[in-house]
Amino acid sequence: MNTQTQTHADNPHGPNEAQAAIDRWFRSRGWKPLAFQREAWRAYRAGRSGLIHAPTGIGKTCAAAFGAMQAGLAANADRNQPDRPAPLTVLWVTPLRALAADTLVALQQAAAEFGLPWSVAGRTGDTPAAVKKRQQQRLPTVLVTTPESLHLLLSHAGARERFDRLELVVVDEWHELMGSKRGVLVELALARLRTWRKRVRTWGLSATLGNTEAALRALLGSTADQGVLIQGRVPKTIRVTSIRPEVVERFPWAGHLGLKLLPRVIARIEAAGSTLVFTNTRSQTEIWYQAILEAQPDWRARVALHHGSLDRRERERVEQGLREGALMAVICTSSLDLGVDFSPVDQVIQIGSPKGVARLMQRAGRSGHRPGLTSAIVCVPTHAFELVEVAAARSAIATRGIEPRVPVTRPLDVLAQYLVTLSLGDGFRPSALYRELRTTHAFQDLPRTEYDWALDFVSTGGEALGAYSEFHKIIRRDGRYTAANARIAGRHRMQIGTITADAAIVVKYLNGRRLGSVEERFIARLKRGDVFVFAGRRLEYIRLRDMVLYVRRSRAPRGPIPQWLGGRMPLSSELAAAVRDQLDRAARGVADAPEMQALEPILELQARRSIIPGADELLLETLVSRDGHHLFLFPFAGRLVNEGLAALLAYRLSRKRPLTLSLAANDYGLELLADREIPLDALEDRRLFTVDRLVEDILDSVNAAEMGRRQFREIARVAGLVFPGYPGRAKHGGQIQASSSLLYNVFQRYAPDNLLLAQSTREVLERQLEYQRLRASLERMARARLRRVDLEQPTPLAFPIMVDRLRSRLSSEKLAERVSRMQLRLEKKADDK
Amino acid sequence: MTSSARHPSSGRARDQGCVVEHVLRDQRLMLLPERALFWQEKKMLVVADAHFGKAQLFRERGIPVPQGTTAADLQRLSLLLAALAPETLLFLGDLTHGPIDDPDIYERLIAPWRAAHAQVAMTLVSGNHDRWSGPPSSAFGIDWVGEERQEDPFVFTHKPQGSAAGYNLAGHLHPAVAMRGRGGLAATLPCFCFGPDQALLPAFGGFTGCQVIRPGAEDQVFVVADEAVMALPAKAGG
Repeated sequence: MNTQTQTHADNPHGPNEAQAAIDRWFRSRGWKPLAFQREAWRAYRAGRSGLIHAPTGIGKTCAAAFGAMQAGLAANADRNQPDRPAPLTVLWVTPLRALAADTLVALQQAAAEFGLPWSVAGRTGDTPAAVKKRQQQRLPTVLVTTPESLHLLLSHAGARERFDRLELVVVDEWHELMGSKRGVLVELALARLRTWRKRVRTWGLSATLGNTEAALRALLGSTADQGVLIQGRVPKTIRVTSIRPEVVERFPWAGHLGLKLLPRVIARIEAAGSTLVFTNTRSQTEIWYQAILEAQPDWRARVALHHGSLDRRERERVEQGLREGALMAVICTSSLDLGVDFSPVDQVIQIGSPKGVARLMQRAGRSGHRPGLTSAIVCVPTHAFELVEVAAARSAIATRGIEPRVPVTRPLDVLAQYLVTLSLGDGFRPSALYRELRTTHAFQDLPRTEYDWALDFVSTGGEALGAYSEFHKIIRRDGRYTAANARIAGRHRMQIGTITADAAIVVKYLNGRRLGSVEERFIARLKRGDVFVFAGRRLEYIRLRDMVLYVRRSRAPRGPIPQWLGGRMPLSSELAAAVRDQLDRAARGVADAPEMQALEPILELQARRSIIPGADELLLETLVSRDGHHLFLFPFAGRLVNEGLAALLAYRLSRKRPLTLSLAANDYGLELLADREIPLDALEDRRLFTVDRLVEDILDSVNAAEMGRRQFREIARVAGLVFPGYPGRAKHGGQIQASSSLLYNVFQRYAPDNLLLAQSTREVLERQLEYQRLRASLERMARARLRRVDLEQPTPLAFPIMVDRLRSRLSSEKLAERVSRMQLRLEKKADDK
Repeated sequence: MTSSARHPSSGRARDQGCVVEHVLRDQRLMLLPERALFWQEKKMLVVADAHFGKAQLFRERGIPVPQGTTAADLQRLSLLLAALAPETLLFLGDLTHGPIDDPDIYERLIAPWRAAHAQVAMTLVSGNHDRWSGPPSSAFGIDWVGEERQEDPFVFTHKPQGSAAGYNLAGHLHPAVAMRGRGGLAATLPCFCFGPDQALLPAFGGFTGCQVIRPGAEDQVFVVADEAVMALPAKAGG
């Protein structure tokens, strides 16, 4: 890292006055600038870029914004009232629209108090069209926006001129963005802005993160060497406690609803002034909200729910309620994980597994949201083994075993989308753009061949189409690539972004008031007159028209609750390792954490029916049930790696003889299920765990289990092969819709070398299986002492995997052979759950 | 009612039972794994939902789907025509997917194929996509007969419809059934579904999706499992 020396490149009189204004701002609040904030302002004055790493709620916004405001004051010192606000100077990129609203207010207030002639405004998917149109004429001085809306700005002609007075780009919550393709959108836009205007400074803001150096490199790309890493070290204690079932024997072994502890959660809410209840999925939020109100009907006005599928106004109402202290509890998802600014609540409750160490720390940070205070979080397990995860998370926090975020590299689907985005505006010259792309972290190693392939893919349709000319998305004219026609431009603008969602149906009351959106899959199961639960209300299906579902309030006691895709988070590898450690201690008879003591009866049952695996042991359980022959293995490698191991082992087993296996995995272990006996000889002589030919076998198993198919869904959407349609807009173009699964088949068959297919395999390998981790797990399994137990009844460890319905399949048998052992499946009706 | 037969399109022995002969109203219908039906008495090959030119249309609208789907479908059809030597080829609607900007493609792709099978009369019963496409290109050399074709004892339509005039054979739905078995066995397979007075044919086109149907207790279902057509045990549905 670099040490900073103060420079005075600016007007020598200005900075002092400006500094005085900032000091006054702090004094008026009874605060003092923190060391890391001063450090950030100095670095800004010196023209540097960098990353500010500090826990949530200690003033990263001031640290990032005030440097530019100071410069703005200095520049304005000799001018009086300007006739209109300064041009776009600060671009503020944030991952969440909810966050944008808060940042906007904070920056507006600061600019007003400093007397800056600045306009501060937002531009997101929520911004009304009329406002966007006005912004087309002239952007505000400070623009708060999302990665997707920023790309939309880049897609308009004359984009470069709009940014020609830009001084600063702030990327808020960079830790949240950097591990995803949205982070790549940010990297691409930053490279573009740096090309247009060299002096632009980029500052990333990041909360708890295990790999800050990598975060800085991903943010700044080829300019990272000059970057400054600023650590806002504020000692903050995090206390993790739990609500534990009194009779653990009657506590469920699996599932995620876990309403068993509801009465104790209600008692906690009652005892505190204000509570945030975090859940892991949107459905769970709806379920807990319903359950709490059923138990406490008079709380209706003081308890609210908040998740990403609720309409903006609904969410804003809740956020406002939190700020005003009008609410005693809010049930929420990660939609309130990030910096939405409200005073700290008295307590934070986490329903279900914390899943990750950093995430738990961040959620805990919602209480005692000020430097120096203790943050506390109460974990509520929804099934027995989540008790272990609480104990594991506590020990991981103590040893700082915090997850890194791995930046995405070379996503060709994002590249294909970006090429079209740029072609819509002033177009681009291929060689210049290639050089620019290589300055980003994501595409620093992009081979020219892959770049040319992506260009071909969006201009001529790719190698398989070369000979024909019917396909045009972008066209080369005079050395520049531009959009082929307005129809393509309009459609592309609607699909910019990398967030995959099912076609969304907007839910509205008959009077037009919007409640939010649900996925089409869910609505497809319902018909007129059916009642379902959404946005905390029981709603009756009136009619569905043009992707809008009209509803009215219902008195029916209950109904099904929508599910949204992307609900299931895997346990992080750090937490999985900590779980393995807790169980090892239990195997040795050590149970010091209260959660482990509470779990003792379950652990005893595990030991009675099977064993508790120690750190140097690999547990193998077999079971014959009505469903078939089960084989369970427990590598404790986290769900994604366990899934990869399942596919690999299934592939190696099925190579020996024709076999069809159904695979399931959770964070602890994996299951292979067959309708015939699974040959175990290979397993016992350990050839199954060899790392010889590992890469080839993984690739083959990924293909055999068609794991790329799931990944291709997102790729097809980002690369513009699938057009999802937009909420509130009439569905159109149905005749040029194909499911990503059908496209996957067609590509496999007719263009097997297509790089998007290769990318889906690569994404499975890199992002899902994490080759290095998989290899390390396999080596550990090969070294471990294999303990095989033939079960009479499922164990507490095996049961949760056994009931998991999300399965993939791998077969070395002919389809017809398999079909002869199947029957028609009778679809279940939509029911209450 | 139903018996297995050797696949006609292959002189070499293929797996037994890969083709099913289904007797209906005293007529012998061969259900082919190519997702087509051959009516032996009339020497008529019936193909539903070919959706020719679908990938072309996608490409013209800016979605880069690979080439070769229509050519592969035509080749599959050629093999069937050569093996079965039908007098008539009846398309049960949705011959083409939609109005493409470059109709020359039909000249390049369809005309030579049609010339190679000049002796076969081709008939099209109109489907919803055909109405969108407009009259079929002359390259098809096809007789467009409107919504319905009657050939006793059958009535051929694109969309399934009740008819007093005979047993209805239809396409349109792209029917498939979801199957499952012990040990997590599962598959979704295109199917032929024969009801008391109506039958559904699977979609022929290689670039078409399918729709899971729920057969009733009286329906007889034959699934296409790669190279084989297989009868599901009667009353498996409910």
